[in-house]
Amino acid sequence: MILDLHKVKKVFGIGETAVTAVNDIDLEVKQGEIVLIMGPSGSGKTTLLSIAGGILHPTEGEVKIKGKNITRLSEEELPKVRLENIGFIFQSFNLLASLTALENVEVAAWLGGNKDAAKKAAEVLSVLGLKDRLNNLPADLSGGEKQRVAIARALVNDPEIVLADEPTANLDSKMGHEVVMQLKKIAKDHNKSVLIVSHDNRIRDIADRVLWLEDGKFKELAKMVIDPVCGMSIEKRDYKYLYKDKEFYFCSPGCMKEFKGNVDQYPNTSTL
Amino acid sequence: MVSIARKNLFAEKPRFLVTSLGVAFSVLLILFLLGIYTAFSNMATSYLKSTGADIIVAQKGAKSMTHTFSILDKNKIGLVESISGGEAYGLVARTTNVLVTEEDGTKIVDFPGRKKGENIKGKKAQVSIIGFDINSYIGGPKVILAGAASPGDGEIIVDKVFARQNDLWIGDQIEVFDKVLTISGITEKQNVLIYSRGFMELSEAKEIFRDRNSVNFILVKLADPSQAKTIADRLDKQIDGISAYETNEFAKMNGEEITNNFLPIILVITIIGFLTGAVVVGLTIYTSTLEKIREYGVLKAIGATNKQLFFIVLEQALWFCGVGLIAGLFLTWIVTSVATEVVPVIMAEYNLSIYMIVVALTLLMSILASFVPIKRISGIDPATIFKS
Repeated sequence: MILDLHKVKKVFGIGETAVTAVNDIDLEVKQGEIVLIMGPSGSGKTTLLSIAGGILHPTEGEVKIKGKNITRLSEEELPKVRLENIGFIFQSFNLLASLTALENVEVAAWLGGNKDAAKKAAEVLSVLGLKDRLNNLPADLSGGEKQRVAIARALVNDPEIVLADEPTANLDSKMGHEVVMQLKKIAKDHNKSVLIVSHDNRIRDIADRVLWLEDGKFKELAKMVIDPVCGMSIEKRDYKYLYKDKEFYFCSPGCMKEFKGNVDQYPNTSTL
Repeated sequence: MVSIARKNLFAEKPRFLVTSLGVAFSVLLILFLLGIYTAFSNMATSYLKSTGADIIVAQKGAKSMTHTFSILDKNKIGLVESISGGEAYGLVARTTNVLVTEEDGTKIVDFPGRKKGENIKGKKAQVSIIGFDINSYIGGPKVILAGAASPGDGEIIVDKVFARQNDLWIGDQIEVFDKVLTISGITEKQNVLIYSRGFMELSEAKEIFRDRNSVNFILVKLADPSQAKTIADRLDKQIDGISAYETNEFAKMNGEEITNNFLPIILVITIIGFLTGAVVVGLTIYTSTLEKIREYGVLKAIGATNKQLFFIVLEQALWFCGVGLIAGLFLTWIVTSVATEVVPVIMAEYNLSIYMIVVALTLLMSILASFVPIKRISGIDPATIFKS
């Protein structure tokens, strides 16, 4: 098992203001597996990803990476764990603005102790199709290129698992598709585990498992449906409308009203 | 390895230049003041060290030629000579106002020996008249830049700064009390901020001050200078009313008298200059750290340690201070050249110790300037980078 979260709980604040972001979560990610975590905003997805990445300490429970318990490691010990085992891909790319594409990746390689950091960085970027963009600053790259640089940075130290936070959120559909394919390659061609947090339904196509996180807990996927109006994944308990003997569910009264007014425009819903 | 600090700095050249310029001005302020301090410290002692005498005898208790007054009966010259076994010469050293005569002959009035109320068109200047034995040349000026080395009757050798300040040169005249003296030579390094030394023949100096029976100091030249301490002690014990010093000891006391008064002022201004530089760099680095806080968070998230991030900040500070230091040295060279040309009284001397002090202060400036930004970085939560 590459990543193993056992009964993980995270509470922010204390007393009456305490908020439980993640509650009693169990999650195992195998080698080469792509796990997609979906859920509404504020459901605890990012908190869970931070805990899995050794960036945030859980309030309760255990986090193991390749069998090593990192739950109680100190702030001085965790950077090494992250460098050696985890690659991060962020929603807003988070490249260093004054460094070129090559340098952004080189820095990560250097931090990882690679003696030939620049060469290694150039190799990884070339594999990702950025051979001609090595010396470009992030400002001169397209969104898709930026995300590929971020992917190269995540991969340059050959981590066991890649954690991606909304990797397609700031990309148009074409770029987003490219990135999704790259994530698939990471898992299937390089046998890396990939844990993705996203709202993007396109990623479901490449995921080995899709988990639904809501209110800090994983919920049964069978109960999830898609709002026919806005396309959002929602529980089967909210705003319900029966039309021609078929049940439709909506995220809000607004979507339901829209549906009722233009019912012929919308195709059938599908269960997740 | 790519330097993130350097890349960040050069990505914003105007800020880098402005901050480095701030450091440069701090360096200029500190270095220039220390240079002035050194020049005047040296000048306060250089004359005494170069008199050619091994022992200086003064009235009992007199410890300097600048701020204490010394009167010795001229008969003591022979006594000193016989006890020391060396050659002894009298020296007149008195600071007074002199009158610089204008070309149209008008003169200023408010200096000793003249009535007030006459035309005021000339210039007044302070000169320490040194009357020395021109035959032995003990106590005479070491360097002659122009003119004659030995002043004759009615002649005086003046410092080049004094000459430039008063637009004088060889052949021009100044007036001391009612005696008109012609400038016969130009010397250097005899300007001690508040007065300038003028050298003339001993007996003429005594005549000017209407004091034929005394001198201010006695200079002793020994056959064996290594005996100076022993002989000075002997003179001290055997002659009433005098204090005898080795020349270097007397020079040191003179120097301290001036520098001890001057040093606190220099020190305060140096501290202000240092703090100004540190604040300029500190503020810039702090601002740029805040601007890049997310990037530091990213680095922390992907595995950079606090120590590695601290070095980025420190390197930035060192770049600012390093470039500022070089620019400051260059600025100091320009300012010194221009200032000493435009304002002759200003003199600055630089030596290795001063440069080392400035380099050390600049280094300290970098470390201090990094302190607050480093504290800020250590508090960054890498989890914040997940917030878009």
